[in-house]
Amino acid sequence: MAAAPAPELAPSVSLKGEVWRHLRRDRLAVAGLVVLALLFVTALLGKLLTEWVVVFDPTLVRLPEKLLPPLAGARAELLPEGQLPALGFYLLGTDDLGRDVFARMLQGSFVSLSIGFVAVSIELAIGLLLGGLAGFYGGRVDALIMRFTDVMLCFPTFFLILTVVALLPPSIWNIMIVIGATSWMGTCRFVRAELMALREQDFVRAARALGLSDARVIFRHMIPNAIAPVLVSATIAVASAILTESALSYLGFGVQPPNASWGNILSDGRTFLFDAPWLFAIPGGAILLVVLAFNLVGEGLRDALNPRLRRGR
Amino acid sequence: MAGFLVRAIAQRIGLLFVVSVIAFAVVHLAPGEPSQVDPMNPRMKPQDIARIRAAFHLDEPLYAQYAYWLRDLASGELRSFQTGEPVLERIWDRFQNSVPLFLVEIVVIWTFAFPVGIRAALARGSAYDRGSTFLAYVLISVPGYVVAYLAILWVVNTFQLPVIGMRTFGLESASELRQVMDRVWHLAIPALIAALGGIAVLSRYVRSQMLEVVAQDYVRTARAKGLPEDRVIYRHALRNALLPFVTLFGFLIPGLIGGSVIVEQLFAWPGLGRLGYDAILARDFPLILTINFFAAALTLAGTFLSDLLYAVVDPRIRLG
Repeated sequence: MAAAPAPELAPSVSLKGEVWRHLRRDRLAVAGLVVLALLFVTALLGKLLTEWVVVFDPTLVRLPEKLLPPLAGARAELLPEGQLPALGFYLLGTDDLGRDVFARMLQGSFVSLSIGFVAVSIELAIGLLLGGLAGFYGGRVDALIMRFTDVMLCFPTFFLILTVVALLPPSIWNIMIVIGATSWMGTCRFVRAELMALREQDFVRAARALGLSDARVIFRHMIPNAIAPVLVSATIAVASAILTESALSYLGFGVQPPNASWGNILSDGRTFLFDAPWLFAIPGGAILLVVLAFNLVGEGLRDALNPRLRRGR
Repeated sequence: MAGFLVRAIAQRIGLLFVVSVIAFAVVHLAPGEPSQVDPMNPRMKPQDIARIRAAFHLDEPLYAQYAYWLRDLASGELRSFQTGEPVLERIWDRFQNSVPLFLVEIVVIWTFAFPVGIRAALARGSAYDRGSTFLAYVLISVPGYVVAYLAILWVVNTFQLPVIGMRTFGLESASELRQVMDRVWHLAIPALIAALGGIAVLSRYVRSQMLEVVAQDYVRTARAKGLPEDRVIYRHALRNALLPFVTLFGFLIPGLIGGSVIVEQLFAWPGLGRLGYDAILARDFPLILTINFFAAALTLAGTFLSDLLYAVVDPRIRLG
């Protein structure tokens, strides 16, 4: 069909195109997207350069070079052979053990980001599964799952996370799992409500009439129709998982050394607030920037998806 | 109505029981025990450990331990592993310290968040809206204790005010007024600093709620019949925008424990959050479990209250 659409009809636009059109006009959200893109590159580079090909060694202790400010040159005469930093100077200074803060931030970017993403993936997996089952089957399955959700909502979340993380042996995986396992309730309730509304729609009847398995109807046909707002809140959940890790670090239960996360660099740095303010400012600023970016993108998407809040019509 | 009350309360007691069983399972199934807190202490002999384990029923099956915990909690005989003091008494002491901090914080949050959010919504797109939105995002996105650290430095350097603990040590002989003011400052500053994040979150929520309501038909109708703008905003729009905040009340209460851990740690405030943190460090199972139980009970009481309030403020809802 080469004919142009009739002038009185709005051109048909896919949901994605529509959302993107609105998002592009939100300058803060676009800035957030740029920051996130940079962050992904940084995190991958961080993994590459600090673990696979060790160019920047985040664990190397250079005691004579401790607490140097950013951009301070390395003093080769004080360092043993082969310990000179790759750049010849310390881009972001050194900490109280003389470790290169730039190397630690690079390593931490991957660690912090993966905590956010894995925790949120776990949250989504539990929330979609339980919400999907409850919304699709209703009845006793629904009652049981919703009672369990109510139970989980009664726990003081941060206190529960703290308890579990403190009692279990320290490991990054435990932190991710605990954060994910204590934050799925909102997703579950939302998905359930959406699926209950979708259950009576024709396309669901058609899918069932075709004899598809329940799992296929739920996860291939119904959930894709309810997923957009869930993904928006997932964006914001990544941000809050990163913040939770930094709060745990403050209390001494975050990612344990020698692994670096932005949270524990910040938490270690607070002791040197007066002597070495960059140890506080750099990780603090990085967390602020990244969490802000996640929040702005998430809110931007939410506005773009919510037709009632759209402007300029 | 009576039927609703009975059912709501029975249901919540059931939930509380399940919560306590799960909490008990989590705490006891996780590796690590109170008897292992100090494994390097040369004075801890195997027979001491055995005695401790026996005294706290740690060798019995889990369901028996749970029954002991429940029995002791009900009779008020439950004692801390660490100090041997009655658990309920300690929690009650710390609770009394936490409540003023919490209340002042909540009052500050709600007093500031509403005007800020309403104004931002009404002047949508203005410099005020964009500025307050951005500031709110910054406050939401920064780890709470970073803001608190900077604020503490600023307050202490600029105003020479004391901020740590509940009172200044060694002021016992000072005049009555001086002591009261000292208490007030020690309370006000942590509450204000802790409220910053809450103001940011709540004002965003107020803003989006107001935006939704202002776009409704009944607001347009109110304007169309020529009511003054203030009356439209505060009588017609705001009152409807307020409805969801009633449910928020219920979810505020758990913050009394979960949200206060870091604030109380920062300001050395002897409240419930710190008690819980210390209990976790010491693997003081009875104390951890009871604080958790207490928090869950408060949450349930909160949601119960907000259900009732909802029925009071929203005539469309009938309890029954």
